[in-house]
Amino acid sequence: MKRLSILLFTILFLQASPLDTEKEIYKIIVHAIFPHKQTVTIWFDDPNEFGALMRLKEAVFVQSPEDADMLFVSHEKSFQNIPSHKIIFVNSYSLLKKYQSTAIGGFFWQKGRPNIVFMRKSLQKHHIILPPDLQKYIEDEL
Amino acid sequence: MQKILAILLLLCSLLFAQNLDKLLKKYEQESELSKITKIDTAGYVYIYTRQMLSTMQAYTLADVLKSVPGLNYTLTPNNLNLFTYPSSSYIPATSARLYINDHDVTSASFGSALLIWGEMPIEYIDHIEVYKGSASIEFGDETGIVIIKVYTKLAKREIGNKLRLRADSLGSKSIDTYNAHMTNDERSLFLYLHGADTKSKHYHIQESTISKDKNDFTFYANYSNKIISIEASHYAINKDPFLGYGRSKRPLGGGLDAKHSYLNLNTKFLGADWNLAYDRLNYKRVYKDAQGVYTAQGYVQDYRLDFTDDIFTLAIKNRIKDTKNSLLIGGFYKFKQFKQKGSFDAIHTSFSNSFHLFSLYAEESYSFNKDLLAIFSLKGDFYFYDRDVKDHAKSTLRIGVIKNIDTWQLKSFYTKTYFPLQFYALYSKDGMPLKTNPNLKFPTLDNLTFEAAHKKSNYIIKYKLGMRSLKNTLLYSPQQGYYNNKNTFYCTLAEINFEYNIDAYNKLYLDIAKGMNSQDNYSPDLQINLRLYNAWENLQLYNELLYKNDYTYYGTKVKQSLDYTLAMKYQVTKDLSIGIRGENLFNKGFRQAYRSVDTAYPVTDRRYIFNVEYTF
Repeated sequence: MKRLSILLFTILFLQASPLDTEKEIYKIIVHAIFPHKQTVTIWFDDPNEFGALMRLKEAVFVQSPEDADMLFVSHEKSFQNIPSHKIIFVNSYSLLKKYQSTAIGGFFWQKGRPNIVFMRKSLQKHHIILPPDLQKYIEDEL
Repeated sequence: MQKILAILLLLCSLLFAQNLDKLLKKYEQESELSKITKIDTAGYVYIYTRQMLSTMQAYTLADVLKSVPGLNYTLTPNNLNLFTYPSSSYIPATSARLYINDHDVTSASFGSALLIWGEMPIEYIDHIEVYKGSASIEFGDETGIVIIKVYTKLAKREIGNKLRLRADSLGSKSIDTYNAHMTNDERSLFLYLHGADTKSKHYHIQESTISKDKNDFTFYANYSNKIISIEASHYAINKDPFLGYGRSKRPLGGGLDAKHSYLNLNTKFLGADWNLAYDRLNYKRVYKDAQGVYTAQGYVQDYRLDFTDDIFTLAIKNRIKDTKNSLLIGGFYKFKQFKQKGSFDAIHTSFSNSFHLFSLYAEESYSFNKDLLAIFSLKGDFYFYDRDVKDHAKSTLRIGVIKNIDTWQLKSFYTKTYFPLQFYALYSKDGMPLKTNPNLKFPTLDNLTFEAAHKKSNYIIKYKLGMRSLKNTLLYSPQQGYYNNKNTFYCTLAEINFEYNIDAYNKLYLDIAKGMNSQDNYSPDLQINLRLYNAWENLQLYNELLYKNDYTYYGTKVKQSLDYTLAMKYQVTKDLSIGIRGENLFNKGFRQAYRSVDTAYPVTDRRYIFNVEYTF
């Protein structure tokens, strides 16, 4: 019983950190884009920017963007070296604004609060249909 | 056993399967910047998070500081803000320091930031930390025991624009707007503008009007890239003189006209944090009083004083960490110059002086284990004056220990420090307007504090006890001018802070503070503060009750007070909110008594404020 209490306490403690909440958010995003995949191959350009992603149990991380199902991008220069036909997700407003026809969406701070935005045309290009509860995060343009 | 574990994990995952909106709210709350900036080893910290400031609809620094436990934020007769501890008179102006981010906005002439910035607008501020029992070494700057740190909003979190409009039942109007922009190569710019015309309740004595009206203007800009951060700010404020400084307490006009501009650069170089800053302050005071305003050379009817300060700062600090040690070492150089021009009826004065301050400091935090931390800080300050005033070499010492025992945390700090004196007391020509004394000793302070905090999952209760002794405090007499008081002043402060978290958005704070001192009581010695923050869906609610007991100030008896503030905000859309805030709703808020006036005046007027905020 003591071990159970410790386990429960540990889980509660971990839940309270922003990194774990961020992980939960990414989990919902990844699951919405790949609803039928048990594991998703992921590439990102900066481990410091996507630390929460690395906690995802559903993700397998790859070295080459060509091998990934989904790319997570935080630096503009990365766009020069990644295949634009891949599913791309960014973590800044300015990146999404500039690459809104390439990236399918972003998770970033804007107007003092965290936001999630999916771009309609990019979703259509990749034939992605988001679940009903995420439809409200879709925008036509930034 | 394994089955039970599996069921438990499944239950937990179901429990935390939340929708995205809730997760985003949770993420916002968990990512509060105060969690990064607060320094627990620096003293006893009281935090006002962005969420709390928003729920309070706090608009000026005074709206926040009046609810800090164990401090009484009040007004002087000439409409300036100062603190008193429970039971004591005004605490030395130099003992409270205000930092905007890491920049100290204290004046060289009069030694306090609060005289100009005491009611600064806070729409561009993300969160506020107030430290008591500090030595300020941790902040790499001059000494102070009450440290107010206000942190501006970060461009990278604010991208977009905001407009806030306000009007109140006394006729005040204000506008705040900011723009935040960030490029893909991590350059960011934050621009803020504020303008306010604030009306107060007027009192009429014969043909005179007693007023605390003010108007102020703020500009703030912050440019950052990967290498450097540059801040530029300008704050201008005009205040009516309230009771003024004269004999009649019926001023005929004038007031305060103050401006403060600064440029502040921060960068990392050779592994250390470097800071370069320049400040220019201008502070004009005009008092007109038919029965005369006191000067050392007699009473005058027209009293005009003009201070200009130039402050140059170069600071460097570095923190070296390993598993057990955290060593902060640093130093700074400050050049402070003041110029004073005075016009007192037919007497005119003009003079200046300056000093060079060199400081070196080190602070070591040593973790014996995860439950025991010891802190040792030492700082040396060397003041070299350009003219007449004797040079000073002073030190600050601080020892602390933090011990965790089960659900308890024990903290204790001992600080031996001093308050630097400012030019208004040290230097003048011909003893005008007051007799200064270049040989004054700097007042010294011994401060011993204890805290026992009991933490549970949804509440925390803290018991605090602080004892301090002050030597060489500053007094003024017409015969001697400024002189050091030979008597040691003792005071004790006991405090209980209770925080109950129903959830992340519904919180209760109850604070009780009782003060005692070795002299007469000059302010209420008992404070009970109750603050309630609530949020349901799109509605935010704030209740604040501040109780202070009765007191006597130089023969004027003042009744107990109960200051009730209620704020309600409705989020119409994600980008638009409307709110109403009522201050001093019972009209029984704290009244400050003034010497030679047989009455006391409310520090906070009763008013209803309407507030609209829009982001785009």
